[in-house]
Amino acid sequence: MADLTKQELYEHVGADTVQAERIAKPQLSYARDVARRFFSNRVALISIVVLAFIIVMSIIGPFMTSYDYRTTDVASVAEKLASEEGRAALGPNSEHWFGVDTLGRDLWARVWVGTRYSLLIGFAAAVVQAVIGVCVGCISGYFGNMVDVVIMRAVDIMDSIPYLIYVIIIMIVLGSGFMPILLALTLTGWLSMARLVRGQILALKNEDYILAARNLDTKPVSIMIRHLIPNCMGIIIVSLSMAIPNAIFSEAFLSFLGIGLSAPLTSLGQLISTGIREMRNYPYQLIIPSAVISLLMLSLQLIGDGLRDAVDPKLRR
Amino acid sequence: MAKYIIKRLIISLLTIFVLCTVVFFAIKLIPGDPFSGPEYTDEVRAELNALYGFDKPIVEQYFVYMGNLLRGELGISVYYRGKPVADIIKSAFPQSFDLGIRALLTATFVGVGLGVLAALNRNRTLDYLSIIIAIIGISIPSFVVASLLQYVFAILFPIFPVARYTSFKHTILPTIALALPTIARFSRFMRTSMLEVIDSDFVKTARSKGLKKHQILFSHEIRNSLLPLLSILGPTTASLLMGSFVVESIFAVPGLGNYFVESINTQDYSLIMGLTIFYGIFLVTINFVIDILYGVVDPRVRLGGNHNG
Repeated sequence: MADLTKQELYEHVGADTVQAERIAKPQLSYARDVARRFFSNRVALISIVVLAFIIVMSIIGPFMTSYDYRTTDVASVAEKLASEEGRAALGPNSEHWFGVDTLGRDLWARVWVGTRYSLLIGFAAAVVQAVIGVCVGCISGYFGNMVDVVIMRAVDIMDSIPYLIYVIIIMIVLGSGFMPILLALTLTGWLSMARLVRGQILALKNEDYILAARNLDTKPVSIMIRHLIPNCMGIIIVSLSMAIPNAIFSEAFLSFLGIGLSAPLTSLGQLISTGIREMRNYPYQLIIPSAVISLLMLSLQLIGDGLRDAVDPKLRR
Repeated sequence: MAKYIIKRLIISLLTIFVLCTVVFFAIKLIPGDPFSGPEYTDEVRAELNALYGFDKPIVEQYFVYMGNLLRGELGISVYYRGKPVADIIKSAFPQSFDLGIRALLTATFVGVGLGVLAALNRNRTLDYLSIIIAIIGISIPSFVVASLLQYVFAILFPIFPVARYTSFKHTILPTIALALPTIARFSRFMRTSMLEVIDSDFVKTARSKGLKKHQILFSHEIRNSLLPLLSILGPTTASLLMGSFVVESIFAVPGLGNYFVESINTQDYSLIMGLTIFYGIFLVTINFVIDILYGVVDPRVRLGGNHNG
């Protein structure tokens, strides 16, 4: 060892400036970063599985049984009601997996068809609300001044009365049904989205890239579509995911009041409100749809929470 | 401050005006004639229309209606023949108010307590437990909770009476059912607010001064985290009100919510109209008072003027 010189022991490798600046970690786009955070959230993942299961069942569930969701069989119910064992046979059994309702309709088919309509209303209402809210919020935030004052005052005025009161009035005027519910929910549900998007646009519109786009004479509409909306996408998606359970809840609430969907259509809310009336003698008619709506709402809520944490980790505590 | 109050007052009055107008024209839009049917001859119908003023042009009807509202006249119920809507509201309001206050107090104590405990035990079992309660309270619809409570604690195990609202025992289940969503909301809010305060400088100062733990907890931490709770009191009142529709009609509490649900089912339009307007005025007034209070305790609110984040 002793006869080795310093030069032999150490070798000068020099500095590779290009290598030094290289980023070893793969670069993640904002969307992929959000996705990575979201998928590392175990609670949210389980919720996705539960939601997927409910969605799949709402599609294939009614076909798994040979009974139709709206065919009544009053005669057989009346016959069974006559005896003690017959009354028990109304409940879940191997023929009717969730039992039958008081009109003899198969509850398994009804629950999944009801889930289908609840989901349809939830998603459709949330998407339309989001579109209206984003448009209004963009216009209000981008143009500012009088436009902003007028729109925001209108939003304030509408917002100080719970939207369900407006929804109830609209439903009374339009009568019950699928389209009236959708209309009533979308007419009143866009307020919070508009306010949220406006706030975000106000923060974004003084950024340099917006100034650059404006100096290039880009039209306001394309600035909004190309720059502003993509940069608000995070909060838009989070708010959208929260709007879905809200819409489902509102529909269920309306059904409870008796102004939701009208027969033969059914929804989870309507099944529950029928179930409440039969609760004393046939508790399964209340418990089964209640369990499904609770699972559905829980999973949607937890997915929404997960998305919010993923989009803005600072909020997480 | 005066400018702030006047601004809020104008918005509140405008809201009430818009609501009354919307309700009036909405009810007018409903198809159908109140006096249709074989028992009404053309002559009788014309007479009745003249009596109720339905033969006048709609604009004139609108002004008559607004004038009546200003005098506190809300019309006469169609279902409860001859009973003025204002009288129904007067007799039903105390029950609803009683139930609402009970639920609000329960929710404040339980919700704030849970939130504080969760924040103090951050990321430990108690914290997770309170989060689970909060999520369940937020995501399970109130009519499911109310009817399951009724089924389990009044029918399956008859500990409490099934319905009605006459003694203390009767109030327990409705109060829990109505309070649960608010407990959830308060505990979540309180937890976040507490966590912020715990990390703040003045709490560190208090700790380094050697103040006792409970002194810091009550006079610094909880006191300062309660303030933001005021800002969600408005939406909370609104949600208690919507919840009362469900809870009152499930537990047969003779309150406003029960009448409202009933009026929808019996298509008693004058009662629906009267109750909607009453609710609107009630909520707007509450919101106005809360806004003013918030402006008093937190000067940033009124000085900030427009809330542009």
